[in-house]
Amino acid sequence: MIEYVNVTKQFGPLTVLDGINLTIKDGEITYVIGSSGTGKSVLVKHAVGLLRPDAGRILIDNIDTTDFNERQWNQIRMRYALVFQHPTLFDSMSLVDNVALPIRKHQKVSKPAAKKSAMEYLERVGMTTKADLMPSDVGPGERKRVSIARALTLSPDCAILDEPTTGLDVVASKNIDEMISELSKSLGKTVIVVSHDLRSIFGVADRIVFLYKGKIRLDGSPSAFRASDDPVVRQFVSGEASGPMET
Amino acid sequence: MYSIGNQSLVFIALTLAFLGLILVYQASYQALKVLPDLTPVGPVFIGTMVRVFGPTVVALMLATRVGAGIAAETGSMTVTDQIEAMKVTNADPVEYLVVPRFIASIIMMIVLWVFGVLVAVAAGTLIGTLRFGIQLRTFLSLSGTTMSDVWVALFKCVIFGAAIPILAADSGFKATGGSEGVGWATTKAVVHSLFTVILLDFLISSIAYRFGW
Amino acid sequence: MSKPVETDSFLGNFGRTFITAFQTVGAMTLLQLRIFRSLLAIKNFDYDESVTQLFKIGVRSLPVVIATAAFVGALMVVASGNFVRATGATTLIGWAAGTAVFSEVGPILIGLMFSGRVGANNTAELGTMVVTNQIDALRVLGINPIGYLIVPRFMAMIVMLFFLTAIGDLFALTGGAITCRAVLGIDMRIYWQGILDSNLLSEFIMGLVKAIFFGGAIAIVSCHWGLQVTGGARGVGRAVNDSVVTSAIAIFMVNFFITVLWT
Repeated sequence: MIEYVNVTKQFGPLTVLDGINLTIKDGEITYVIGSSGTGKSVLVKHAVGLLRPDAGRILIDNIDTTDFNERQWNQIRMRYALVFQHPTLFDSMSLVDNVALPIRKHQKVSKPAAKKSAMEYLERVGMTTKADLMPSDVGPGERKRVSIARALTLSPDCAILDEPTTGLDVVASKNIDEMISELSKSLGKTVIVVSHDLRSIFGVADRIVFLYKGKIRLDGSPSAFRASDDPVVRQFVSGEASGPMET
Repeated sequence: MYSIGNQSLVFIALTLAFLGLILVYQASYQALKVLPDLTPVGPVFIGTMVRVFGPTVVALMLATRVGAGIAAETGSMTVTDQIEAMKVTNADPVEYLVVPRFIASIIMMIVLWVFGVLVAVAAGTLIGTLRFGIQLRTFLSLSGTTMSDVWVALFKCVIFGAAIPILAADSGFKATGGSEGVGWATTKAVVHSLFTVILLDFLISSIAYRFGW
Repeated sequence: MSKPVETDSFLGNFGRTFITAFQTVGAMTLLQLRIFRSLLAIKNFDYDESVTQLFKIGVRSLPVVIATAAFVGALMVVASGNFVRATGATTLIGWAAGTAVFSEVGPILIGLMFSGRVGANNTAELGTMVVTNQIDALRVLGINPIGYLIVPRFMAMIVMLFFLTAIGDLFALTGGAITCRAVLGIDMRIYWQGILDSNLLSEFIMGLVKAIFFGGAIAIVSCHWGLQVTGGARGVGRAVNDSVVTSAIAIFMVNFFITVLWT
């Protein structure tokens, strides 16, 4: 469980998060949405200590993380796995070595054993045939799948996916959506997805958090989201260029 | 030109000062072991500084400082397609980017050589007089320096000054593939120009020796 | 927060240079401490990455170090040639070239070359990892970037520069021998005899000790600049530039202090 209590973050003169209060419950698929530049990525980076709040606190499983050092965060990061928006594979290693690295580092196993185990994770995302290629040799959708597989090697309780379907074609994003559903429904994991891809949201999400100008504008189920009469939410759903929304 | 000179001034002063210190220290220390007479240390040091270490080390530092800078700049312009953009507008990138740096580099090389030798001699004098008690007048003597030393050194300066920007810009223009490419180009520029300086130095020194200059 | 006053005066520039220099030295000291702390946690030592780094560094820099060393030895012989011609003391040539190569010029030039080849490359590599978020990717995987990336590089650079200097010294002497014959016209035997007679063991060992410290300094400097890259391709280029410049200053300074302490 991740709790944000009055979290505020500024970059220079720009207030990106403005007193966020939010609780993410275990076992749910939560979508954090909003137009680009509204602080969605910033919000999730706080959950794993990549960014620290200027004011407010973040509680993870009821433990205050304000005074955590890097080593304590590393413990959290093993259970809350973040996958970046731009797949950050290590470009000097093959795909399978990328996935094998955290296994080798955390489970203290030999290199061949780690590779074998990595192949199993690659199979889950359907990438076994390209395992020995370098990251630059495969497409963006495939890189994203490999980085998700790499995050799953930590066997996290919660997966945090930053824009997993952005920039992918329809079939590739459908694949990712199914993976997200499976993670939650059959493996019982908590999933947080940052997205502005409305196609994925309905049908997959248990809960939607809509960020607008550094604040939470709406927090509720997909049906509540669809039924909202807030003009800003309406404009976001319909995707019209004119309206009350400021970008 | 201003940026090539100004950026390098503090850097050259620091490195050449330490070079002057160490050369005098070693020379005096070795001289004490072999012949307990420290009178030749100053003149020999100044002569070697002018002819050998001055041009070489200043050029190595210029290659490090300015060569890397030129490669980084032209490299990032290449990978962000600014060079292409220049060609499209009919501005010759070599004429526009390399020629000014080429001329500036030769002039700065000579200026920095004079500056570097002065700094090194000042630092060397300091350690020679204070640590080894050599008379200031005995130390600061030009009896170990000839006009041919100066001419050979000047010639080296011109050649080194010309070689560095050419090698650096060449690496920069050949950069490919984002930030990694720029890093590679900069590395290559430094290594190539350092090595070329040493190689050219050897050739010029050998020829000068054979002709008895 | 008040905005610092921007001045373009000479004194303003000078002051800024000093403040930046102190900040840089401070940051590097911190990095050094973090490396040592990671080194103490020996159970996390990454054997695979260290071997990869050793191999990469060795292969990358061996040819250029050998070539440089050979010409440096040659250069030293030509430089001493002028004095030999003036005094006629041909037996001194081996002693002069040997002392210069072993104790000062050899380690310094091999160090500079190493910094240009390996240090610069290291800065570029780490810098690229920073700009493409690969460092953060390590952190979210619960892997300490210092322990995984920096410590193996630190160790590998020290070990490799040590061996490269030892090998380079030999090639420098050989280069000197050939030049002795070809340019100065002095019999090589006189040159080799001069080196053997002058008992340069202490100088040779001092050179190797210098190599250890140069390797450490280059590692810290190049990792520091690599890790603090900002702003894309241009930022990486600038960091590489800063890295080689700082390494050169570090080499000359460290060199002076070791010589003074040694003798």
